[in-house]
Amino acid sequence: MNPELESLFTNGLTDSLNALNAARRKLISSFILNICMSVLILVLIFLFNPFLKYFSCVVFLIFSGALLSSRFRRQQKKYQLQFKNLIISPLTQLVEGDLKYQPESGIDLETFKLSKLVKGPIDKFHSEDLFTGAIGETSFQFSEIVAKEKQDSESSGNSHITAFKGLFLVANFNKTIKSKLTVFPDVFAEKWGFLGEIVSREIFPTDGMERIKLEDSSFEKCFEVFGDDQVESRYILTPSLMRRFVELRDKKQFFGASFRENQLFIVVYLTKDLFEPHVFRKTINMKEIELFLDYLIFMTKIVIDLNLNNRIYKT
Amino acid sequence: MIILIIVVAVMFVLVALFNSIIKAKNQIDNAFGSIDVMLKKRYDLIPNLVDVVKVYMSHEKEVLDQLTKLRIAYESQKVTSNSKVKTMNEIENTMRKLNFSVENYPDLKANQNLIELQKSWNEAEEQIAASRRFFNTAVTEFNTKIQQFPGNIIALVVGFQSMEVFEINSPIERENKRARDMFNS
Repeated sequence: MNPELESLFTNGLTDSLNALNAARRKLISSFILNICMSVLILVLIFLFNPFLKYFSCVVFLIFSGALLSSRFRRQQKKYQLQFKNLIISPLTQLVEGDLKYQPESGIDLETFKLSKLVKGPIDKFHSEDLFTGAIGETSFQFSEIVAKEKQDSESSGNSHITAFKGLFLVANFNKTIKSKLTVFPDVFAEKWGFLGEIVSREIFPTDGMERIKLEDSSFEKCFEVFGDDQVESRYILTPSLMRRFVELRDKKQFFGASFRENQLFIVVYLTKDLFEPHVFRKTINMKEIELFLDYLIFMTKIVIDLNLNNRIYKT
Repeated sequence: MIILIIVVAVMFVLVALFNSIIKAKNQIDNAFGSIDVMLKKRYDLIPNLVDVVKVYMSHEKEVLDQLTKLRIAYESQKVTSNSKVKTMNEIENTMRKLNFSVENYPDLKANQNLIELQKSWNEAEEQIAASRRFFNTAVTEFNTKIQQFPGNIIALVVGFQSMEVFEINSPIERENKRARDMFNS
């Protein structure tokens, strides 16, 4: 385990962990108690209500189900917020960038849409766990985002598919940019060549930009680049920046980036929620907390790893 | 009838291939033009540089005047002419003669205008490097098209020849002084 994290938990967070465990047990007890009470009332209605007993049971089930579910969600949210304030917030001390954490805030939809990293009109958008900081002259912020797209189908009617789930970072870039450039993970083109490129254009929002082929073969294997200016794309993606992208790619699975309006946007694709506790697990999972810290370090180190603090250019 | 279809199909393929070679060649001209634009952008910084420096380095007046004249000469010459390359080399030599050592002039080093000029110079250099990379990519694509079959047959008929990429020994690369060297020699 990370020694600083171990020290933080051993010395500073024991009381917080105990308080959280107590809160978790209280939440589970309350949930179980409510279920038992509902079952008891249901049995009583069934036994002693001579009038429309089945109808009454069904109505009671619907009503109590909705009430219990709403109550549990409220209590769970309260517990999650407590977890974030007591556990996630202190983790920011172990990370560079003088991070400030706001668990209930997030990056807004307009900023997310500006990045043009996700295709399709976004119908549902949820953003939380906002971290803001600065390293040198580079200010940045990132948060967890879930964006969903409406899908109309004859069989299932209106449903939503997840257009993006993961972490989204915005940082001010160290060069003046007039054009647009987007870097996507190379999922198809490397395997299927020209056909793969056609598939990529369907899946990723290339926005009518042309494919930019760069000279770094390792970079070309990992990413596909689309831009509207051949020269400025190479001005942005220097050989050293491409190398840094490849090194970053080696650390985590999939991420994409876009450069627009003097800003860098990065998306890290995830399959599960971050910074959330589990209610029904016995203890606070240290491996998971280490994973949360790992992601915090990864996101803040992007500024250093991509050398965004090299402020020798006109901006 | 079948022979006619085959002939028409082959013609289409040849026309498409010819057009793609022409497109690749035009891309090279476009890229070369970009290099010239970026070089001009860099040299356009020279008047401001002269204005900032002459206040602190009055004994370098002769060299500064020569620099200004060379920049005007560079702008009046044609893009691909040999005289333009010669002028470019003279500009670089003159900049070296200026012996631009910021360390010897602490007041100059702290000058905000000079700091901004350094940033603009760095930006121009990176853009020149980017243009050169674009040129090399365009040349490589063109060379590949005219060397692979059946593009090589079209190239032979039309007279297309392989072009050279920018290398470290080319005049432009050799004389493309980095800002660090220029301002801290």
